[in-house]
Amino acid sequence: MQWLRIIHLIHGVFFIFMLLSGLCLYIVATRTWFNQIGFPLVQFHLLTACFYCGLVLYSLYRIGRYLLKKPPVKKFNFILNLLFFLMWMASGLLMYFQAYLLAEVRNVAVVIHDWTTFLFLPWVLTHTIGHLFNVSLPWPAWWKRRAALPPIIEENMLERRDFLKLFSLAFLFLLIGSWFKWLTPILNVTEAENKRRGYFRIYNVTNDFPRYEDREWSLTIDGLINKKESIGYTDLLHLPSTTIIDNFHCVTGWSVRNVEMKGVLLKDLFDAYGLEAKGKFVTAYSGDEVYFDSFLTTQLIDEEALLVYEMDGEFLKPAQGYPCRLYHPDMYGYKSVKWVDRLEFSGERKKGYWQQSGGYDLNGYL
Amino acid sequence: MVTYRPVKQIFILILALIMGMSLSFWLIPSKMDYEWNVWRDRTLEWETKDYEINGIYTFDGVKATTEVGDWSEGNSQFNLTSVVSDDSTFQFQVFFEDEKIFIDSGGKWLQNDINSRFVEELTPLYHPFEWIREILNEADKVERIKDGDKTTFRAIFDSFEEFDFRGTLLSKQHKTTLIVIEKNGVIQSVTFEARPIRPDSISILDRYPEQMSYKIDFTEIESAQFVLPKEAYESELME
Repeated sequence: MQWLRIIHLIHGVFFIFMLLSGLCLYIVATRTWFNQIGFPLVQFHLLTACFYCGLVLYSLYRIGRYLLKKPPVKKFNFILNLLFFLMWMASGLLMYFQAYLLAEVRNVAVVIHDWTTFLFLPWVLTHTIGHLFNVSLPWPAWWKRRAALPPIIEENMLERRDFLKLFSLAFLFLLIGSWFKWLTPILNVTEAENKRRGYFRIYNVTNDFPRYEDREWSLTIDGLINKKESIGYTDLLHLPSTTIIDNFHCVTGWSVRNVEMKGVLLKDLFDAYGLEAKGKFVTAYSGDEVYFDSFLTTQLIDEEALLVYEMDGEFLKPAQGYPCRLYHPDMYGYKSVKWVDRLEFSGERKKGYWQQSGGYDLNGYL
Repeated sequence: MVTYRPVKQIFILILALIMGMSLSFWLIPSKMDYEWNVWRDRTLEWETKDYEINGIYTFDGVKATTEVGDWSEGNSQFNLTSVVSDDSTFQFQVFFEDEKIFIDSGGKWLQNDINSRFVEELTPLYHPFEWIREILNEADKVERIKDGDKTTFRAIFDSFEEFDFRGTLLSKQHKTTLIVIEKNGVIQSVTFEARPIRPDSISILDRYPEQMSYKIDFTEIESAQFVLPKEAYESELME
């Protein structure tokens, strides 16, 4: 069974690369570190996943046939792996094509992708340790070898009639439960409409982020504009504010629904200071001195882009971009430059950080 | 000799119970949720038509304004009469055209872009159906009563998450209802009856109602009348 050993080994290697790159993407510190060294971790994860999927699909039939006469432990490992593989593949595809899907579907896909990984980790550790150190767990003989089953196992083996019984009973309970739910005098749907849903996964491109003390922050507006202006934090708070409740969408698939954001419309700021942009494009720079992104001037002025300073009734936290972040209601979160401290108007459009290193869309519309 | 009882019998029963019950509670709406969705969907249907409307707003049982005019989703115009004292009223005309508001007050025209302040002051005239959807998000109970061709939608509100109605902040409520009557698929009336509890944030010196009501009658028409004179477009900006 040389062929099987080779497949098992290649599978293991791909799986480890995929698992490690996935975990590194999940953990903020490692994700940020890879960003800093310029390693395309997302692309690496996707490429490994493609090879992994190809390998599994290629070898599935032969392994399935090989396992027909093998003991339960082998079949269990195979079915468990196959089940998780299908969940990763389905949720991964939904995450990849998330632009075409509803936010609810995207969020469920992200949660499934994450949790299947976490749930699989104990098996991976046990299996890997078992192979690496030749550890033999004290499983009963019938589980490890093709031995006679003890009566308690034999009589509890699931048969076709058990599955029929399970699904028939489940359908009956579904009807009973539906009847109860229908009669319950509860209005859940309004709560669902108003409720904040989801949570933020905070991404940075630097391991540390700027911390502004005593409102020392200021926003510089310069470049091709009728006059250069510098606006302090207190000045910003004194401008007419706008509060919106909006859904925050990340290009990686997760969304947070019903986020309350308060800030100043760029349009109002320009009116208040008598500013007139002469450049067709604008680049927003983050105070972390690394991140930036660019827009059409009309996208910021005419499309109700905000300089946000409060989120859900509280001032932004440092990790959220305190004291101020840019927000465009119709664009993905990567266009929402945190700690924004400069808006530079120009005649030519710059490619932003993620357009240069991640191939993200320049406009980033939802 | 040992006798084993198949554990799977109980296991199957428990698993079926969990599967069936969780699916039903996850997928099936309560009757109220269903009625709420029906109501909300009806507002989307109602707003596609044009109406002649007639509204009365009362504050503590005293008529505060009357509003008569034509409404359509694009353009609307209303004659508003605001009661100033027992024997005097103040009349003006309001026009909504796309994103603009025009006011004719005694022959003097004013205009501005529609913003939340103007919309709130004339709630729910600007867009009654959007307002219904907005207030429905705060409902605590919803019911739908069918009686032949007539359908009555009724929502009860125990409290609002700081909902503003024409300058009155609504928070906790004694008994507040929204009733919408539909006949043969056409909306007939919207009645909002509020008995609010004075919020702590309202000063004792500020006027706050014990009861207020707002009723609009709708008559479906072919096309809403909308005639704006030239001077309206050239008028001053309203503060």
